Amino acid sequence: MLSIKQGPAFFKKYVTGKDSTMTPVIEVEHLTHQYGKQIIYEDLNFTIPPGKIYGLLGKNGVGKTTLIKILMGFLRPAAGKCRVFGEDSHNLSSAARTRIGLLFEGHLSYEFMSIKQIEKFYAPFYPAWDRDIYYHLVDKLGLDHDHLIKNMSCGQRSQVVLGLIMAQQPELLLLDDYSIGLDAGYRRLFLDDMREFLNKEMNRTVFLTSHVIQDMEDFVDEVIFLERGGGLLTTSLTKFKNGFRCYRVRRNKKNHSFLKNQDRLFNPLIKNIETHADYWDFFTFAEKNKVRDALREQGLAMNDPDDLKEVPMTLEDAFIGYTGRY
Amino acid sequence: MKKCACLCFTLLVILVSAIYLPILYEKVFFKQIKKTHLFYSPVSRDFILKEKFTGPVPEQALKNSVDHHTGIAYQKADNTYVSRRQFEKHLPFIFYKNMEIWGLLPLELGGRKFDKQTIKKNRRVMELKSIDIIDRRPFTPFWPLLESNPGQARLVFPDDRFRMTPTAMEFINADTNRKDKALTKTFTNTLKDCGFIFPVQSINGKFTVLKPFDEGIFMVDAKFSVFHVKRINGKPEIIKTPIDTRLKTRFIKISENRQKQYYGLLLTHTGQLNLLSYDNYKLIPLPLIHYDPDCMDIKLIFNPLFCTAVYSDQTMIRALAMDRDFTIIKKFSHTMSRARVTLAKQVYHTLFPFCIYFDTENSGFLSMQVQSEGKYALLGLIVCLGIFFSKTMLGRKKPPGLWKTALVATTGIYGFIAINIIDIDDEP
Amino acid sequence: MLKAIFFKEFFKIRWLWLIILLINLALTAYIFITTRSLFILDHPEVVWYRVLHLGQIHFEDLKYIPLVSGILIACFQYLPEMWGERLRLSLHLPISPHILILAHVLVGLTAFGTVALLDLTALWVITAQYFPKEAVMTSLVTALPWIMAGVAAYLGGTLALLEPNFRFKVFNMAVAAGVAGLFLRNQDPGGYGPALTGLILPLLLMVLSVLLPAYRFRYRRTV
Repeated sequence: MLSIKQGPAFFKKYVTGKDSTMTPVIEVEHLTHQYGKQIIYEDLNFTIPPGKIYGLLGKNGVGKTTLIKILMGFLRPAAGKCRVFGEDSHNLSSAARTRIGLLFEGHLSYEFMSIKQIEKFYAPFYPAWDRDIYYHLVDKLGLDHDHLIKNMSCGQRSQVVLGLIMAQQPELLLLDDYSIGLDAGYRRLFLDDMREFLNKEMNRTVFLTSHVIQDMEDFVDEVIFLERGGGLLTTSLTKFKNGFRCYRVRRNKKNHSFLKNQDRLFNPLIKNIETHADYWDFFTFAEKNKVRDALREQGLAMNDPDDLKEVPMTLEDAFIGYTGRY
Repeated sequence: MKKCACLCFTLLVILVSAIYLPILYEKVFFKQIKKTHLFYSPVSRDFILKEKFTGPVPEQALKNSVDHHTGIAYQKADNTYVSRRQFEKHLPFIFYKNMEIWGLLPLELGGRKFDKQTIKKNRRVMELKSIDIIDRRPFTPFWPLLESNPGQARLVFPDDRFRMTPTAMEFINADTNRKDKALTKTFTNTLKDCGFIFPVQSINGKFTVLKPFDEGIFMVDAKFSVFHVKRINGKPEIIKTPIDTRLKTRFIKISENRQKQYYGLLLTHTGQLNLLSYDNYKLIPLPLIHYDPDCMDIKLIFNPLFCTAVYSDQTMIRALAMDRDFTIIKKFSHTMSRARVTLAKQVYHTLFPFCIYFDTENSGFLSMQVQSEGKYALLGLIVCLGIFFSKTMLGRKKPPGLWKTALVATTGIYGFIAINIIDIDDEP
Repeated sequence: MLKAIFFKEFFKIRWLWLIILLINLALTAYIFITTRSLFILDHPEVVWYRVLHLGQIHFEDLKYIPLVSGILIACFQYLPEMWGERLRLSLHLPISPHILILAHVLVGLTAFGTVALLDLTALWVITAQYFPKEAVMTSLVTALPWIMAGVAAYLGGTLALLEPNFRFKVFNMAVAAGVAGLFLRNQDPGGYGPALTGLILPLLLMVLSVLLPAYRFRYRRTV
């Protein structure tokens, strides 16, 4: 099966997120990064205003981890700027780091410590440390405070790590793939805890990545779709869900030669095409009529109005349709 | 702080590479050539030497070489080469056993006949290596005083050893590891009675039982008087020698020998080497020229006719032939083949602008010494700087920074390695 | 804040430290037994001659144990930090990276120092039991470079383990091996004496050098 996607130029008009009225928490300007000769992205730009929850979405290998590492300050960009609270992310002052809570992929923690010890370890570093927040979360697990983290399940560990981040009371939370290794219950618990925390304290900003898009549905304010090569779409999930469509065209004798010798569809309206054995799925933000015209223009014979059918999508379908399956 | 860390690591890399890279090079490209053996021949009345060659072997030497020993030459002072057999025949007092096998004994030299017994009786070799000198090697200041009259053929170690405190000669019993008060008192008092002034400057003796007899020890007191101390039948026998205190005796190498002519060699603080004779401790100064006890090893080879002093540093070997009254007969000096500057050495000195030797050269103590070969080093630095500039210009399209340039200009290959390995950038 | 780091580091290596301490204790006990047996097998004056004059080292088995101890402490301290790059957790703490890393190094060196102190004290006691005080001093001067080799091994381990780039890791190991090698030459007892003060320099350089891989870890350009 063939997956056909549009290049970065297609998305530029969708890039939003700049709000000049607020000082952004994260500013990414002309960010370029590469590993050896492989360019991950070039001229990446976006800003994150305070008080919002942003989800970073993208397939494996598009550079989500790289971007979050740059934001967390553990990777210096090859070119361009990445600022957090106005400071270069790779050279953050201690004061700025106090304001940022990091959740590393895999819920990294010092696993040789117990619940009690790790709280004692972190507490002296943060002036606004609130041990009650930590124990409020951790006590839900019903574990003894001397229980070692290394003897916990992944879900239990995620509670401890989240508790530590929250007790720090950061203004910005950078959560790298919080959902990894968590079952549905712990994912729900994690998000519920987050909601509770964010509701209580206003104006905290969250930037997170996750593989589970449906979890984001009721949680994030905005999503950033990151594409290979640096294509970027910043939008709200509602807007995305309502605006992004899938049209299906059955394959038959008349149209079977369509796209045979092509690997791209040079029409800016069509975001992605998934070729199946019996049909094509066309993913687009455009109206049905415009899509029909565009496809006809490309040589796809469609005589019957029912030849182009809109297919209902879940958020996950839409996400996969947007990013492509591979 | 990052700059400080960079600097520290750079210095560390330079230090380590300046110690190990030359060693690595030496192991790959240098042949370890032992020092030349130089002798005075009583036959030809001239010097003769045995030497391993560095570099090409002269044809004449090759002609005289024996099977696989092509690199070893037997050379006379007139630059002619002889065979090994000829060489040994030139030194009949040394190779007297071969002379006997070859039926050349008794031999006649200068109108005198020498049989095996005469040769054996009059042969003696005394040696003083720079490392032997008391302050040039590590030692535990705790000595045995052997019983000079053991009442048996073999010498044995006593049950005790002594240390010199600022006020006493203190004996410690080995069985109890405690002070032997009586013995301490006896010896200390006897020393004081003989005019010994504490604290001691040096203790000199041959502290072994593997010698024909025991001649005791020689102590140098605070005022540089030399005392001959012996333990005879458990009692102290101490003699204040007439050795001039103005000589400021630095070291005495004692070597008991049945000839009982000389106790050994005595080195003064000025580096003058003397034979210390049994004749009322009379000193016989050796007329050595360019002798430096701190970096040269010396051998005195006695035979029935002559005494030859042979001494060398790392490159030059010198010899004095003297008659039995220590009057100079002939002098000789020779730059050893090992000192030859080969291409490998030239490359070495160019490649490494300086080398840090962490070794025990001429001493028992490890020490770090920086050595550099001026003109080659300068050439190496210029070449290295050129390569560094070209590499930087090709890579970054701009000249290197000042301090990096300065580093390569002063440390050459070491700085070059450090800069290229350490990913130093200018950002914080 | 420093107290918290000290606590974390000590907590991490406490069992290993105890094990190393016990191994060193066992080894010193072994040295005591072998030294004692020297005196059982031979006359004391002969043993004294061999040790004080011929340079026999009655505690030779101690030579490489500080080196191994140093490497082990570094491994137990930094491998957990490098697995999953957990050091990021500490590097994000609001404290400057050099203070953070030097605090780690201080804990490691203190742990090593206590082990070394145990070795030297035991050596002192054993030697003083059977030999005169002069021999004690010679023994300590002989063993001190081995301890310094352990310090070099610990700092070298830190240099190599903190380094994120494999090529540099190998290079750092080579440099560390070079420094440690300076302290492990086969010398007559006491032969290191005058050089010991100067040999502190490479160790001091190493202490500050360990910041470099930490900085490279913190601010690297590539993963």
